[in-house]
Amino acid sequence: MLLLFEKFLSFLRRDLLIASRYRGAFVLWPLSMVTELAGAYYLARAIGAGFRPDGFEYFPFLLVGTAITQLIVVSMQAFVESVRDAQLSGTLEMMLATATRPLTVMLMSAAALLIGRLISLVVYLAFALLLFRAPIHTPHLAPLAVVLLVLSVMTVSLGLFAASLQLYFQRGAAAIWLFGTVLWLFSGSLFPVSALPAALRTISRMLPVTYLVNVTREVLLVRATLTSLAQPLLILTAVTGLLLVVSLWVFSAVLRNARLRGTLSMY
Amino acid sequence: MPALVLDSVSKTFFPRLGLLDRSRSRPGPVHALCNVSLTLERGEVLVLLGPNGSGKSTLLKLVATMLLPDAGRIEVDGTDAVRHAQQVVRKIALAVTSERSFFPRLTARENLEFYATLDEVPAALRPRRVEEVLETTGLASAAGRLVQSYSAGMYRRLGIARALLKNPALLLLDEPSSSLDPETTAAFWAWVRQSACTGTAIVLATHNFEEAVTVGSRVAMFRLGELAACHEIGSRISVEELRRTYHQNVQTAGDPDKLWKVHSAASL
Repeated sequence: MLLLFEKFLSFLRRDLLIASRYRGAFVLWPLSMVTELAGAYYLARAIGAGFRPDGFEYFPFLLVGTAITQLIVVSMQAFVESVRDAQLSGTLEMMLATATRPLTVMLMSAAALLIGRLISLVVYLAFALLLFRAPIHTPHLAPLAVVLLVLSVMTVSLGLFAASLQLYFQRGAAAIWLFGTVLWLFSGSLFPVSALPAALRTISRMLPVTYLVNVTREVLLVRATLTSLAQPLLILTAVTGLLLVVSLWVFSAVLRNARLRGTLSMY
Repeated sequence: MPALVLDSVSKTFFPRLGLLDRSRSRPGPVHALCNVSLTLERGEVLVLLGPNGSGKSTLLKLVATMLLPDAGRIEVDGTDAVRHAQQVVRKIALAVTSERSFFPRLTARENLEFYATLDEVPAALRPRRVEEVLETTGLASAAGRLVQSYSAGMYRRLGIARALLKNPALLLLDEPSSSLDPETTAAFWAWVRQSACTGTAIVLATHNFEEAVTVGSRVAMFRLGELAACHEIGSRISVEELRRTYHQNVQTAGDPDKLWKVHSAASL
C-alpha cells in the first residue's frame, strides 16, 4: 500500500514538473477559464431571467452542466494525449516493462491526471462565485462527497475507454470528439433534456452523465441532502462501479492485443 | 538453471492497411522471428549479431515482455515470460538507448528517480542508487539537465543507467554502443565483461562484428528472423572464420526489400 502511494506521488510529481515546464500553458489556463465563464454569464443574460430550465436560473444551470461535462470530456482527451505522448516519447513500452503492473501504470497516470482536473473544477467554480456572483450555496458534505466519488470513478472509467481506443486504433481523439458532441447534446448540460424530441430523450435517459449533471445541480444549487438524493445516487454508484469493471477489462484486453500485434508504441 | 531459455520462438507481424489502401494487393505477413532456440547461462554474454531487420530487437522485446510470441517458450531464470510476465520483469532490465524512451521535459535525475520508483527500488536506497548509476555512466555532471538537450551518446548512457537501477539478473542491451565515442565504447565494453564476471547474464544486440567478438562469449548470427549460426568465441572457431561465416551467411544473404519490411514492422 505504501509502495502504491509512493508510485502515485511519483506520477503526480512527474506530471507537475512537466506541466510547470510548459510555462505558457500554465499562465494561459486560468485566463481561458475566466473567458469561458464570461461567455456563459453573458449568454445567460442575453437569454433573460425568464428562462428557468428545470426551475434553476440559467447561469448556474449552465455553469454546473458545462463544468461536469467538460471535466469528463477534457479528462478523456487528457487520457488519450497521455497515452499518445507516452507512445511518441517511447516511454509507454518502458513503463510497461517495469516491475509495476500495466494496469497500475495506467491507473496511476489517471489518478494524477484526475487530481489536476478536480483542482481545475474547484478553481472554475471559485471564479464563478467570486467574479460572476454565481448563486452556488455551501453544499451538504455527504452528498457532495458521493457526487465527487462518482464523478472521479466515472471520469477514470471513461478515460480508460479512451486510452483503450488510442491503443487499439491509434487515433483515440476522433472517438472522443464524437463522444463529447453526444454529451453536449444529450446530457442536459446546456439546455434541459425536456427540450429534445421524445425519441432523443431516450438517449439522454441512457447516459449516466445526464443523471450525474442533475444530481450535481441539486447538490450545489439547492443544497439537497443525502436522503433526498438516495435513489439516484445509489443507481449512479452501481452503474459507475459496473463501468469501472468493464473499462478495466477492456483496457487489459486491448493491452494484451497490442503486445501480441506489436502495436504498443504505434501512433 | 539457465538465465534464459528460448525454445522454438516465432513472431510474425501482420501489416495493417488504411481504408484507401484496399485497392492494392495486401502485403503478406512479416516473419520477424522463425523458430529460434537459444540458451544463456549466468555470467555469459550472448551477442545477437545481424543487419537491420534481422530480428534482434524483436527478440529482445519478446524477452522483455513488451511483445508476446506467436509460438514457442521463453523462460527467464526458470520463470515463463508469457504466463508470469510480472515476475520476469523484476529479473530483467532492457537498455533501450534511443532518445525515444525518456520524458524530454524531465532532467536525467528525475527520469531515473521516476523509473526507480516504478521498478520498486526501495525508497531508502533510491537516491544513492540513482547517483551511483549516474556516476557509473559518466552522467553525474549533466544529471540536472533536461534530457531533451542531451546528445545521442548521452541518451545511450542514460538508457544503460536506467537498466542498471535494479541490479538485474538478465541485462538486455539493444545496440548500446552506437553513437558512443571510441573511448566511451572501450570503457563500456570493459564494463560489460566485468558485469558478466559478477554473474549477470547479458544479451547484447548489435550489427557491429567487432563489438560482437570483443565483448561476447557467444555469438548468435541472425538473418531475416532466422538463427543462421551460433558459435562460442575463442573456442573451436577463430575470429577470422567467424567473420567469414558472418559475411557468407548473414550479411550478403539479405533481400533488401524484405529486410526493410521486417525492420519497419519490428520497430513500429
